[in-house]
Amino acid sequence: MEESEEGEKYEKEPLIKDKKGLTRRQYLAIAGGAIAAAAAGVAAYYLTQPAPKPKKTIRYLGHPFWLPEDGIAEFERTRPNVKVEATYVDFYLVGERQLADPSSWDIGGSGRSRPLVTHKLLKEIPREMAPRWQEGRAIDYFLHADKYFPYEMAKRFDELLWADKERTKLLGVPNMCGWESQNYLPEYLPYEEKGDQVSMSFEELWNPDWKGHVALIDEGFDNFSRFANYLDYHQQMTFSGPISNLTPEEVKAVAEFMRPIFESGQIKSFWSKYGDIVAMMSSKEIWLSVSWVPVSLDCRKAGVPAYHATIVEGPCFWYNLSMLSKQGNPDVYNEAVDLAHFHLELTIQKLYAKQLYTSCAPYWDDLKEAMGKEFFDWFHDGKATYKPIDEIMKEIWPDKPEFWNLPERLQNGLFLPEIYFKHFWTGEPPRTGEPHPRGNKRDLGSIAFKHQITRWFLSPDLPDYNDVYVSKWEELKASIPV
Amino acid sequence: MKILDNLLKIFVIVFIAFIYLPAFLVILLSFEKSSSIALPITGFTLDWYIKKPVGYETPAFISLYYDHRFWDALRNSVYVSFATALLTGLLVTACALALRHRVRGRDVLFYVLLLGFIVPGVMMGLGNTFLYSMLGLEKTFWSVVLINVAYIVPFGLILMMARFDPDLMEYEQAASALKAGPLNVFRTITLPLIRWEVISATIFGFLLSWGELIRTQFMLKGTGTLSVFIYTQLSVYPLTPKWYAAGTLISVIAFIGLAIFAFILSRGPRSR
Amino acid sequence: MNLQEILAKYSKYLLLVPGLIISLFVVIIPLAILIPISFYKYRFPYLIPEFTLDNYIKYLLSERTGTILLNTFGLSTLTCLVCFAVGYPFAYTLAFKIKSPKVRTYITSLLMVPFLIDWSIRTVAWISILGERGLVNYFLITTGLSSTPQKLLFSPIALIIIWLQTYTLFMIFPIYLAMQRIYPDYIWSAQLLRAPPHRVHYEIIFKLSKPGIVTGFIFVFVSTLGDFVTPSLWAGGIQTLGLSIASYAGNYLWPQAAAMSSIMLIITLAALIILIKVGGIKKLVYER
Repeated sequence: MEESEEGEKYEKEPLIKDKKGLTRRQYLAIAGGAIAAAAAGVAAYYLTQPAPKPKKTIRYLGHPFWLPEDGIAEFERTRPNVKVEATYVDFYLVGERQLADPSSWDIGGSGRSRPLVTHKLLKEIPREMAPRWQEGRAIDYFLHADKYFPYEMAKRFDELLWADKERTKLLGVPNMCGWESQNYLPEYLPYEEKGDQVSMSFEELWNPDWKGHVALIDEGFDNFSRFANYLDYHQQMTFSGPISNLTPEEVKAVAEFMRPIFESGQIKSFWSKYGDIVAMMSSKEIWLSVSWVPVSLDCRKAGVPAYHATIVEGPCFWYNLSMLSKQGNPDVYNEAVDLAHFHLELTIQKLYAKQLYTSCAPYWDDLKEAMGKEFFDWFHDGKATYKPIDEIMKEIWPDKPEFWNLPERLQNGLFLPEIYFKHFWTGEPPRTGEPHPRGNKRDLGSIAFKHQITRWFLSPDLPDYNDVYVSKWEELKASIPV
Repeated sequence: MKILDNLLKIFVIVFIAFIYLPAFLVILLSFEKSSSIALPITGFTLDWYIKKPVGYETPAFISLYYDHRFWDALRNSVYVSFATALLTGLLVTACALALRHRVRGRDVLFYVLLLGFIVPGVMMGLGNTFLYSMLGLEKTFWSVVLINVAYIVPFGLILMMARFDPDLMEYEQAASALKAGPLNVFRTITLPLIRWEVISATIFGFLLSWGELIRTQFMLKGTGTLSVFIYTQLSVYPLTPKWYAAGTLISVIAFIGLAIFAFILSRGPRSR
Repeated sequence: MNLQEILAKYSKYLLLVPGLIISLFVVIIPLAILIPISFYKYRFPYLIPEFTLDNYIKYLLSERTGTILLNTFGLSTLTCLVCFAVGYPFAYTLAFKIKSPKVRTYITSLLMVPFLIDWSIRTVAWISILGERGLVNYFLITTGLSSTPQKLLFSPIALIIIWLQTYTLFMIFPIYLAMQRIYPDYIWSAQLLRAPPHRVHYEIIFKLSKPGIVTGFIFVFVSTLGDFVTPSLWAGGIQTLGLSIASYAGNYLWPQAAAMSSIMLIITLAALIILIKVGGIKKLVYER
């Protein structure tokens, strides 16, 4: 069909003759220009994004908690032909990503490795390739779990770490570990921590004096295991297997025990992000919580006395590790093992120590030297500091004279190893002297003491009947009065 | 009536104050001396903004200026959000325009497009991860953008469809009856009339993808966006006034950026 | 010329293609992977690809499901209503009572700024306001209105306040846009015809902004459904469906998570369809 002359004429003129037409056009032009500029920026970013990779690239999937950027920088500096591409996601999403797409990572960090182990997705590491991992150098659990845990629990422990019974091949290299119970504010709870000494019981969690000021971590496995530990210790219930791997009936029994506590409104908050529980405790809204060791440290930094409790029933042991994916790039195997092992070296251990996480292989000279005798003994053997606590207060809190005259019970709850032992990080020479009778001792005491009172381990396991754990936990939470 | 009018205006002011109350506290507490994130204020300091780090601090204790991870994440957020906003604006306009006509199976198509924001984030992330795993694909910047776009386009779509001028199609038909080509029609009639909707959809796209966490985390590679960075940090490190400083900085930048944007917008002709 | 005609004819289909392709790859296909998984058997940590309806049946029959579903959809609906109660007058004032377009633009921009501060940071600030040692209690106690600190923080009140602060923007925006569209002539002519103010308001303003209202409801509803952390942390441990899905998925219980996700999808989709039909969004646009 031919276009008539009229049609052509109309097409050439704008249909809307408006004085403001120009402004509108101009405005559209500006908008279009801005959009084009932005698009160009985006395209430029995208095009420059894949950096040239002449070196070997290791893909790390985890969290800076295990492998901080400073650690990566140091690793790349000392291994010039290797580059680490780190993808950091939320602590709780790491496992999902690792399991859902095992070919997208070469090395990963983990706190719950059971699914990966059972699906046989982990590459084995011969023990020789992890030279720090030796008898007498590593925390004893790793090499002799059967000495510390009941038989079946020890079996679960070994399954997660060793590919074989002879313990010659590792399934991952543990990096940090610790012992964990609960945190409390001594301004409200009338207890204190004095090193190798029990302070309170797990049942403080349902003491009605603290109603509405108690928080639990939002995970079924964690809580049910702790309650099972309590019930087992006080012989209120018997369990057929490890308390961290209950049968469905046992889970239900433990949940029934916990139900009245939830229904009474005793517990008002469930945390999953560390920052939130610190916020709640350091603002004194929560006085007692099942939470990680550094929570008390971060409360102290905010000027709130806090302790990690040495409960009668014993803390749990946990460790985290770096693992290699079987479906990862085989070309970077050696480099990835190197990186896994690098976590045990001083650079990264210095960061872990800030949160009082213990190295899985602490008995090496470089660590002892850098820590100095006072810190090393305080950290691992529960020995006292060389200065008494009231003097230490002046050192740690020079602009807070109100802290200098507090009772020692509260002063010890304000002790900050990061400041008192700062030579470890700054490189200054350590203090000399002898442990002072009124010196500070670390919460939960020495490793030897903890070996004695610890009856179970938490990470990186997951129970066999995890679906029951999860659904029962949901049920409990749903029974809280709104 | 005057009383009612004034009451309403007061209400607006009160509500804005309410919205700004936490923001105000964020700004105030970013100067707090101790590492506590709650009132009372014990002292004022600029440390959380510009104190030189000593070494081995966790990001929660490194001042804003020296925390290059923060700046990397911020830059990523800007890129991702811009890209998402642009794509959202384009797609939403296209789909909304198309769905006006009696396209066959229109209802079904509409709801298919809506699925993106009904599927829970965790499942979307997981499903996409499985897909990438099955196809052996590596994740890139565009993986993040696309998953955000799929989530945000339905918002924009509904926004646009709720506001289309009912006479729009008549104008367009009139114009084509007058032998204007489709491109001309679009340029001179449609676009100016739906300008506000498109802009709103684009802005919404930007805002929503800025705070988007869960889907992004499944699809990202390397350094993440700002919200992922903060969320990841807070999952194992404490909240300190440093993060308030970050919030303050972002507010200030946003304030200035939006002020400029609003200024440009208000120069254009008004639609009633 | 011919090309233009062809373009004109098929443009309506072509315009949909990019959106549909993205939807296909990012939403449909992943869903198609997940939905079969919801029918798998599960024996930790293995997914056994045998068909079973267990995941659905067990979930629907479980005693806690009723509470959780009620919590989830009830809270979201409540938030929608509260946001509407606040957002509608705000949008109305903004659209009709504030004459200067500059001021209106600045106010809308003002509303967006707090939104850009990351959620975690913004929410923690509420401890200083709602906590036992926060501003509100400080005010209540010093003025003697209350003798003991009120427990505001870990309760549904805190949740509504936090969600109000975050999501009212989503309600205001669409309603404001819809109100902006109303021809002032309608209002003037109604007033000319001596209609009483409340009738003017109801018949014209309210009814004509209905699509905007419904859009606001949809936005707030869907957004609050996706925010599962807030109720659990700040409202006293309220368990919602989104949290269940996240925790099941995080515990590698993917069939169950997928099953719950499908249920959530169906309910949400149903709610959306009802809202859209009620709001007449499609009617407004289609029926021409």
